Amino acid sequence: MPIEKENDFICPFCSLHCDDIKVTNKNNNFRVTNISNQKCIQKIEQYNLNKKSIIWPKIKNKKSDFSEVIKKAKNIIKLANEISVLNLGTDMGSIRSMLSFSATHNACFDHINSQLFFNTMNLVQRSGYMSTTLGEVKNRSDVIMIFGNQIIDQHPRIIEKFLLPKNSFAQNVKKRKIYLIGNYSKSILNNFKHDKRIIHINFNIELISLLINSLNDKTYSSSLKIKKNIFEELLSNIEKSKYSVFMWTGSDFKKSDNYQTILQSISNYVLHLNKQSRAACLPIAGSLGDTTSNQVATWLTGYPARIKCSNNFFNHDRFSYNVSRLISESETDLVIYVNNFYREKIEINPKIKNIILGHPQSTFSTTPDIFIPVGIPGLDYQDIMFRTDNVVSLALKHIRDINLPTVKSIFDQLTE
Amino acid sequence: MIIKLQNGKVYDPYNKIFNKVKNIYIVDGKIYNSLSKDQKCNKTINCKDKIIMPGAIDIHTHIGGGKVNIARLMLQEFHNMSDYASDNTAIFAPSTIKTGIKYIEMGYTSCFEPALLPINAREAHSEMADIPFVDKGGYALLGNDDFLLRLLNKKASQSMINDYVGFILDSSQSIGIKVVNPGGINAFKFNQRSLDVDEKSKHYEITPREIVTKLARSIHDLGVPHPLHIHCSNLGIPGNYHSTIKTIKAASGLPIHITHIQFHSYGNNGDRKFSSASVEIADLLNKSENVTCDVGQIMFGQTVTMSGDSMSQHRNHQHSHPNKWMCMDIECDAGCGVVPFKYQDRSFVNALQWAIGLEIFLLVKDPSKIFLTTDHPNGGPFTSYPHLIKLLMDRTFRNNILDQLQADISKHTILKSLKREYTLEEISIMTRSAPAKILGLENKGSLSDGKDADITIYDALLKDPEEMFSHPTMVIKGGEIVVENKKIKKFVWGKTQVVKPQYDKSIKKHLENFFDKYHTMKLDNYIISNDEMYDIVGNEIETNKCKFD
Repeated sequence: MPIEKENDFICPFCSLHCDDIKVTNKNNNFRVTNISNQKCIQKIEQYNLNKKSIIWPKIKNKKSDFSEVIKKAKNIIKLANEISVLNLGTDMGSIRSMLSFSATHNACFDHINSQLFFNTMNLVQRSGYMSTTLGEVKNRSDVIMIFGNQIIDQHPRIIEKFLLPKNSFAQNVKKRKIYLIGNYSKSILNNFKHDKRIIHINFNIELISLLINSLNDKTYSSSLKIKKNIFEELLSNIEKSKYSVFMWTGSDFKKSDNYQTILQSISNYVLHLNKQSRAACLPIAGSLGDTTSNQVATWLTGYPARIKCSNNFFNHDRFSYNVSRLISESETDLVIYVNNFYREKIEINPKIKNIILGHPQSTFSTTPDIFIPVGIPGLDYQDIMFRTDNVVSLALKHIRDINLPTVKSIFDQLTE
Repeated sequence: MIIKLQNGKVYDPYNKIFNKVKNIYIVDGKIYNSLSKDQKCNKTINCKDKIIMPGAIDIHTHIGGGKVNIARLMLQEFHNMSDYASDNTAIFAPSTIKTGIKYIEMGYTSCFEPALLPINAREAHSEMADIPFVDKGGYALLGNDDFLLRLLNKKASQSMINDYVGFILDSSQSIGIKVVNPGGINAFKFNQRSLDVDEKSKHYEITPREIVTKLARSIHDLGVPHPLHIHCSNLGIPGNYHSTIKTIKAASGLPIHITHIQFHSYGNNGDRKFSSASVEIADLLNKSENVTCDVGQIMFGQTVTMSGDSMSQHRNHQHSHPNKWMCMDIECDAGCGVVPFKYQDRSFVNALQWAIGLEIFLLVKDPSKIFLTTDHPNGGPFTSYPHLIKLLMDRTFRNNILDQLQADISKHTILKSLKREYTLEEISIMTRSAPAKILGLENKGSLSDGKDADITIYDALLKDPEEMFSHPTMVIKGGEIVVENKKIKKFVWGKTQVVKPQYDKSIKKHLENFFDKYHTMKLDNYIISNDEMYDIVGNEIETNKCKFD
């Protein structure tokens, strides 16, 4: 492993998977060297090992070794009746092994963000849907509508890399309009205050359906609580557009009662626009490897998440196999958490046996029964992850050596 | 391990052996027709009253890539309606595991995904790596990618285009090149809703004819065995056979393969303005030595259509059944559309489509020029192949179904007058030796010494070809008995078949510049290396020779 040499790095920590980043690695302490976005740098470098990092397996907070902890985990699995596997983010190879384990042990398999994915999936399952990818947006779009503020917060480089890039061949990017529709903090808006292409419309996102319907009817409503001239400019730009893109991310709407209605109204409007012009939806999601998890599970089982194998059948039920619900209602007696990226505290129900395969910086609401530290794809080993648009996938790189196993290798041992 | 297949009736069209009783030996995964004196059999399988053929090869089946996963997600209500015992995904959108199981149970040992988007190749290969049993491969999609269209627009040299095609085959780990609705998918992104063969796209000012001509030339110049695989302009539109004929002529005598030709053989005559042009198409195919085709036969029932042809799929979405669909513009590379559809025998159009496909099968004289496909799942699922074979082999059966269709359909088809019945010999050619030859698969499709021991054994006593081809008594993959007595005996994993033509690697400099400016990933991360295929994607590659290797 090269020391202090600049390495190409493909970032696994948000769903854009930027591959233009370089890092140096000195004694397994890596530093980002070639981008200026401080939020991204911080997001990446927080995975450096520190004094709090857990690099040894633990049984009830007691340091153990890998062979012992695998033996113990196998015993717990043997005694369990209803096993659940909750994915908090990992790579393709690991998901293959998690599903193989789930099939062998008749376990439920779910991703922590599956409900957000289902909301977008409903559009595909219930109506027409027009979609696009980041490369098309970069090169073809002239009007971009971003609903909510989380896209920019969670994907700090999305504007510079994809929405307002230096080069774009099919449209004059200097004339591109980006509408930020929602409540944005001053700190975010300050980043764009000198760029007239970015227009903020302070807006209650619960009223998005009303806004879309008004645009569709070409009729201003004072209930929108935006000025009429802003509405008219927006309408005019969309109508003139040759390629408009409508973007959102699920986390903006987590608490909304109207989420499905909002998404359906956006999608229907896009279908309407395509009668005369070109337009597309592009939901941005997958910062916890959601896209990777959904893709692999779908090709292997027909379903993206909330699946359970019994008698060699993979069944799917959004309610029954919702692992978060199973945990909160104690309908499972063993939960195996898989966490390559999650930085929040993992909420553990202490009444239920648990095994956590987590990166060394993982934190918990209570001491896990078993903790197995695992490497991070893109830092500690190579594997594949899918970008938010479901089309592009990248083979992540191996840039440091901290001698931790992969999720895949642990699950393969647990399945034996 | 040496296995002897004793006294089987061998059909080995590559070696012009038909219905000859002989022994076949399997030694370490390879086929031999005799043993040396010091070799002893470990196992003898009595093949009396059995038919032995090489494993079947499907040259056009949508089994991997983003569009397949979209269909799986979209149509989950059909998953539970499957009758399969251990995987309840719908047969027209099966899981990877079920795909492999269903193919091997029918004696198919190699399958080729015809719409592998280079930008999506990593997914497609990863997905196909999870299909058990069969060897697989993909045809990389070109002809709607902005890089090629810009080259054509700037009148780039043929050699530069050849280098680009060579690079794409190499970097996407493909075995061939396919063009879908040449230039049309790209034109749709600029809001153009149709594009005929000699019509210039509004943005790049390129005609589909130019794209076909340049790509067919590239494939020829690079010595790639599989001719340019062409999904013609104007899929499904009445009168489109004119476009198909123009496309064939655009190749100027260079080898080409017209795919799912049934969907491109429509006239617009009669009171319904929809008619069969099978005679015109078959006549041209019979005269053109440079052209092969697969049919894309439709089968009545529910299925899902999935295609890179977003222009056509957007136009067709009004026919979706159930009423849902999806279209996508993809990464300056291509597009895709997924539209569920139910072919109904009561529908005049669907019934005539069914008849047109069969007419073409029966009118094209040489079985090595026409391949048995349903364009899975677009015309119907691949599991309907045994039924399709019976339609080709049994005229009475065929006519009985024709008689049950909408009353006036017989006025619009010549099917009843076609007396031809395919023989087992012809079926073995169109599903074994001919696909291996046209793909350049050196180790498949024949029972010659040293070839891969991919072998299917059928019960010769079964008189119903549908029954016979549905359930081989034994299937051997790479020398391993994987199906015996209609049951899966062992899981094995096939390889990915690729070609690696010679090309000038300096094309990478142009591409690096293009990627850095316009793409959303670095060129180096777009390329799938041989090591990545094995170590991460999970599939070993087998490189087949090009003409100049």
